[in-house]
Amino acid sequence: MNCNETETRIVDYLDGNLSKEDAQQFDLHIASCESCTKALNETKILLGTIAGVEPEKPKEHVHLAFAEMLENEKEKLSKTNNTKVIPLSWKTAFQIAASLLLLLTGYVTGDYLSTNRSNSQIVMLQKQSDELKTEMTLALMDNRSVSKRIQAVNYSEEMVQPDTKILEAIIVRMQYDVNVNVRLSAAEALSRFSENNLVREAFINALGNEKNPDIQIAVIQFLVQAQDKRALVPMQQLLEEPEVPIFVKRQLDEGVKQLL
Amino acid sequence: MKRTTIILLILLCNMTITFAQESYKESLNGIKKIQFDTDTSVYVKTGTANELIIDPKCDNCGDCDNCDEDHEYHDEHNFSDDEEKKSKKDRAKGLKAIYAAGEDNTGVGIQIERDGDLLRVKDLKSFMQRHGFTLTIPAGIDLSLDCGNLGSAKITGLSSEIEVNTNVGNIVLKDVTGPVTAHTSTGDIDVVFASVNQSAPISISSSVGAIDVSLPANTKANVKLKSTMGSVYSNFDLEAPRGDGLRVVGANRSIEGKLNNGGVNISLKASTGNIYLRKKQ
Repeated sequence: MNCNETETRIVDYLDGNLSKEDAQQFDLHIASCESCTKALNETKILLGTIAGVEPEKPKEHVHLAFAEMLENEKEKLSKTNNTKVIPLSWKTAFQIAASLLLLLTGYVTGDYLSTNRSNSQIVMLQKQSDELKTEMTLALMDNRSVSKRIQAVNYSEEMVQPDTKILEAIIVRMQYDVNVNVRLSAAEALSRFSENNLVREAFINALGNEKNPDIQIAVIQFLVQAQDKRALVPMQQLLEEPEVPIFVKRQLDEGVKQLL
Repeated sequence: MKRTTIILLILLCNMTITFAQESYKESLNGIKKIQFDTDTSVYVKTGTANELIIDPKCDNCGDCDNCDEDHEYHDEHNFSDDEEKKSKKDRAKGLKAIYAAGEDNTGVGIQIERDGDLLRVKDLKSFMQRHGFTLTIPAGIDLSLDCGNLGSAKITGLSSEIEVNTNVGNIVLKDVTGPVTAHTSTGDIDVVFASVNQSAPISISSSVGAIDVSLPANTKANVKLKSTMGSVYSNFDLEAPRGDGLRVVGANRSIEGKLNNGGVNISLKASTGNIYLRKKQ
């Protein structure tokens, strides 16, 4: 038997609850272990003190009052048995409601605070990723590979608010890129900025310069959607030109009607 | 059996190439991209050697009008006696062919320039003097092909970036991986992808012709299909984009969707032609 085991058995030993063998081993250990002897003695004194305290006897009037209270309670119980303890249940309901309210308030406050924080983090990350995309986009804009140039133009579609530098770079692509698909992608990427005057002017210029029918159609659709009256004259001029394909002229016709 | 026939075929091809009179070879050491400009039809196939082989014949250019013998006939047989023919060659003796478009530094009416890792190849002769080209290049070399006004293009097996432009000619791409950028004004575009490279977008457009694209069923992509005056057909399940009103582009009604949870951008645009996007069988 080691010290730990001995100490847990001190109380049992003193109360005489240990089996004979255990008691013998306990004695054996106590004889050899100073700290356990000390612990045993301390426990003996503690238990002795507790035992020495006389139990207080209630006085006569306390007894009477208690009996009366008991009777009252009994009476109440028999009464409330019929009414199914309503006042009590109301009280509990209030308590439960109050605690629920507290919980909810805590949750809402916590949630609000944390979303506030994470919102600002998201905004920061968004800003960083936008900056990164801006750099990447501008770097890719002049790439020799057509596909990469289209990729650069597409990046701008992922930006919430691309800065003017990007818009200008895309406008250059739309007006001067040698590849039709790049010009077309650029026109498409720009089409969501129908409020931007820089973009509008670029489209009006393109109306006069662009020879590819696909891009002409994209340009016409943009200007009609933007309801830009400045497009009316160049559109009517384009309608007169013999080399403009019929299907482009049909778009022009409809566009002019919508602008008028 | 199969192997031996293939080897025999390859040998045969090599023989014809070596014996063909005007076939021209250019080493592609240090070259990453070839830019080929011509006015005639071009068939591009892949070879194993790191060289560009230009064969001024095209049996595989499909429906191109300028592939038949007519032009040669007009060109050479207007005065159909042999003496006239001979004298034509004789007359040129000691002289050098001069072309408006550039300097012939190959002897076959083609100008080849190196610009860093770019090889610029320019056909100096008019389509009237050509019967199409067959190019053999390694599968990993980027290709930019411009077939001018009348040429059509057919490219097979390239696993690199392809850029093709034609005016009235059709564009056929087979077993390619992209990135692909293709445009034609009035021709049709047929593309069969072996797989789809995710590194850069694919963009295919035709003003008047139809666009027919086959993708492997497991392709991951964000597709954008738009035909201003035609219809769009597909047997892919296009997962509808979020319905939060973002990216609605006014009158430009385009169909957007994700294939297999999305991936590289694939944009197919036609003005009057139809668009067909199909699962590869």
